[in-house]
Amino acid sequence: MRRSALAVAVAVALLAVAGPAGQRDALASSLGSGALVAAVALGVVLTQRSSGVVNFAGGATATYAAYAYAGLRRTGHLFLPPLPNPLAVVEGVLHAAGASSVSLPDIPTSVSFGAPLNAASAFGLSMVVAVALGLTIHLLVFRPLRHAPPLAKTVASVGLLLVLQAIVVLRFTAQTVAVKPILAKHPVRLLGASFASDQLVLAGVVVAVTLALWVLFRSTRFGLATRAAAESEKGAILIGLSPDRIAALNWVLATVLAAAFGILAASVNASVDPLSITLLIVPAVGAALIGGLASFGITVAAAFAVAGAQGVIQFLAATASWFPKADGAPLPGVREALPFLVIVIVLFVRGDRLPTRGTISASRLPFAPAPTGVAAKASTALALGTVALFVLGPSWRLAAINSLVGAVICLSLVVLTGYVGQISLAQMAFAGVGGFTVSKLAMHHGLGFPLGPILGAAVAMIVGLAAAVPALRVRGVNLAIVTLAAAATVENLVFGNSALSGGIHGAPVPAPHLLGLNFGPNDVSSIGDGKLPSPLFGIFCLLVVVGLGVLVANLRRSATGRQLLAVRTNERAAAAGGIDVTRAKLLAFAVSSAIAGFGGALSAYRFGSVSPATFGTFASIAFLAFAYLGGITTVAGAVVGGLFVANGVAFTALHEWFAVDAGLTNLIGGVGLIATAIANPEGIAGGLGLAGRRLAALVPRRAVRPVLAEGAAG
Amino acid sequence: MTVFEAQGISVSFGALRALDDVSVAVDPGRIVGLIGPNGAGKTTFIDAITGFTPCRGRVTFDGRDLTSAAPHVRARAGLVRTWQSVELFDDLTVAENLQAVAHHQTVTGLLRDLLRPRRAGEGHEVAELLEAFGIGDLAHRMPGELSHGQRMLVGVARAMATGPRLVCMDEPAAGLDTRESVAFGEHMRTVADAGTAVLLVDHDMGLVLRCCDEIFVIEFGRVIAHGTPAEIRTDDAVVAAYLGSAAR
Repeated sequence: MRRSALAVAVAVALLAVAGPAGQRDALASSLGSGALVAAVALGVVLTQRSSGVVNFAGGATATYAAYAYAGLRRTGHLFLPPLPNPLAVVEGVLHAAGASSVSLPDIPTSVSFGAPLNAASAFGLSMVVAVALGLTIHLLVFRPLRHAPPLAKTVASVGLLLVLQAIVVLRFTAQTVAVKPILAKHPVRLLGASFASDQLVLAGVVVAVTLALWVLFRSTRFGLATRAAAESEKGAILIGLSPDRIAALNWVLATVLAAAFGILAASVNASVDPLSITLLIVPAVGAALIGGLASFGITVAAAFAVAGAQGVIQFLAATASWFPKADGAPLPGVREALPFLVIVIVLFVRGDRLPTRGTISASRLPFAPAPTGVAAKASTALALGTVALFVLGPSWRLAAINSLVGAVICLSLVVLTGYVGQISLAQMAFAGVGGFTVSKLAMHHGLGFPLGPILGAAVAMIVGLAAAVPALRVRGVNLAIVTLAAAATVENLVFGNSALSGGIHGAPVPAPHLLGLNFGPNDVSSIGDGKLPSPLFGIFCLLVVVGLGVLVANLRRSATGRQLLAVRTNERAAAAGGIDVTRAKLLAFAVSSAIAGFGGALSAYRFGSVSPATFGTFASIAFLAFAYLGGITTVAGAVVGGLFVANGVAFTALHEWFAVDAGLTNLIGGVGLIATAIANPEGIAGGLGLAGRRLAALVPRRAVRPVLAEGAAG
Repeated sequence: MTVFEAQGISVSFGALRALDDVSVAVDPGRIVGLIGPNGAGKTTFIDAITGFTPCRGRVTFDGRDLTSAAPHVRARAGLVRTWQSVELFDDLTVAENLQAVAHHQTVTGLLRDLLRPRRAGEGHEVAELLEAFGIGDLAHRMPGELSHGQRMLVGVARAMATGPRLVCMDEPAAGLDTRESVAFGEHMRTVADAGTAVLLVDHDMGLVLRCCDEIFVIEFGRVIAHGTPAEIRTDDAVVAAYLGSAAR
């Protein structure tokens, strides 16, 4: 492992030094981005080693601190995170009672220092904020989850990412904010290449921090205690350590490091925006994975090496005649695809197909009961849904349609995560492949409904299978990282390729029709209230959800489903029972990505076009959250998950009834996700089922059985 | 006619020689015991022949060379194991535990499963098997609700559900009381009488000496004795290594 990482680094170095001067400069200018990725990756390794959490919110933490710093520097305001205000409820009640002029005090949104602060005090104050943030994260999120399975921890860190991201947009802006540089910037000639001085300093700081962390973990009592507590919490308590305090300190350390690097990054870029630092988490977790989520040195080396290679690729794309072209321009996305390729190769060299003896399988997932009465439930859902689609007004109908489309993506996660226990952060990428295929087929080959969506699902399935190849070697949160890298690759290589995606305006998708019946969302139909969106399109979506839901429920009840669940529970025992574990996972990936692809086709029809923004990495991450929130192991959970998607039923309700701003929806979603991970890992649908079973337990024993079956199937 | 033959099985963990040139053959319908002190390499031997630990040597099964086959391929060929720690599928009911390993998926099977999940009479064999082990009433319970002895029986029943030619049992009687252990011995005899070979690894000396037709004794990864229970009982090397004076 160490050897292969070294080999990559040496190869990049040789390639670059042997190349022309311009190439050396390209390599030099990649130093800054390498340092930033390395910095975020350090935080990932730190939290993983101390509390067993792969913190997907590492980049978001850095962004948060950078905005706090920018605010202090520009206006002297320290922004406070939004806190629930109990007075708002009182206010709402009073308004409803007719006293609409009453206004109770709000919790302040910021503290003013009168005038813009200088760099040093703004930095210092931001560090104080970071300490508070680190403690809050530990106490409110990961301390309650310290014994939770990896999926719950992963989901909580995704929830944290959504929350921090939402706070940034809510409190600061969605806009780019200029930041006065801390470091002086001038060109430096070094080793025959031209470096920027601030990037050199940044890289130097990263290397110094890496060395410090290495020494800390290797040689100090604190490091030893952290490793001991991570290895065995009970053992640590027995020898008089406090695992809780150690974890808290590590969270503070990780948050402060992320915050400091976030501010430095903003300074080097001379600006900060909500996404670019946050999304550094994608290459960062990749680098951390190459470092085995354990080695600071290899992780940082991998980050620099990959960034260096990307710099060289960018240079070659601009200059080399042999570089692959699309429409005369260099093929986009090759640079972004590199981390994924490196991860796949490294995992392939290293991974084991089956977990070895002694690997404790602690990845308990929520219970996935075999559904009963599928036909009855499906027809009830169909009947109620149809009535609702006609009765509801236009805005609620649109919300219902959005939720139905979302439910399809959640269903794809039920198969993959719920049944086989494989975490995917790439479902929207698969959906996007389906959507773009539908557009291509319709615009260039005249293939519309139903062949378009079916072929779209098939192409998505092929892409899903390709992404599954490395999945055969990794499991749990490592797989989440691989799929995240795959999602970023598809996003850049396919959706970012304007020849395929139709550029920023998106690719058009003609409305579906069959046998003379037009059922696109904007086809005015003679049935119903005649307003848009068309209830017929809603019924089409409903049919898809019910149909796919029945298939997914059938899968659970079948021989194949039992084998998938056997693999989820215990790969070794499954193999010992003659179950081909590799094949079971591939099968689940195939079914899941095909369902996601169909969902993408539905989304394409819904918007009348497909655009890369819909199917971004962030959307994929959010969908794992929605599916988990609803209940990731059951069809009912997928439907509930669909309610929570952007502009779905839940958020329309918040908006219409409580006048909650759309900007708050991600915040509420993220908080709900963390709360679900901590308190109710079976999701909302599972929680309702559990409540049903508890109620049933109160009923005299004879009557329990049928009720129990109903509750379990919910 | 031998159903299973392991020749010269050796396993090393770093510098440690866990198994050194162990050869074992099993005939159909026979119960063969494998005993030895803790750390002698008994579980490692099962891991090696069922494909869970890389080893040197040769594994022939039913005339097929399975030396480099994947674990699930060996299991489908009929070389099946149970686990010391039972390892039931905790998310599936007892009946589903057995059903999960009773059929093997195919692509057409998947398509049929999506549309028609229930196969005619599929629960039948499983119910019979559970009944044969005296646990028919547990079919719809979850593994987490069962006693250790019950879980053990479910583990063995699950192994039998694959339709094995040889079943390797890793300490199936550990944690059973005397009555349960005697009953378990009878179940095992029924299995063997139906033609399935059994390789039994256990610490319960009473069970091994009572049930086995043939016994291999290993110590520090080497076979130190081989023979009938009567021969093993009086073998000096075995007595010195393992049994002590209590067994006489």
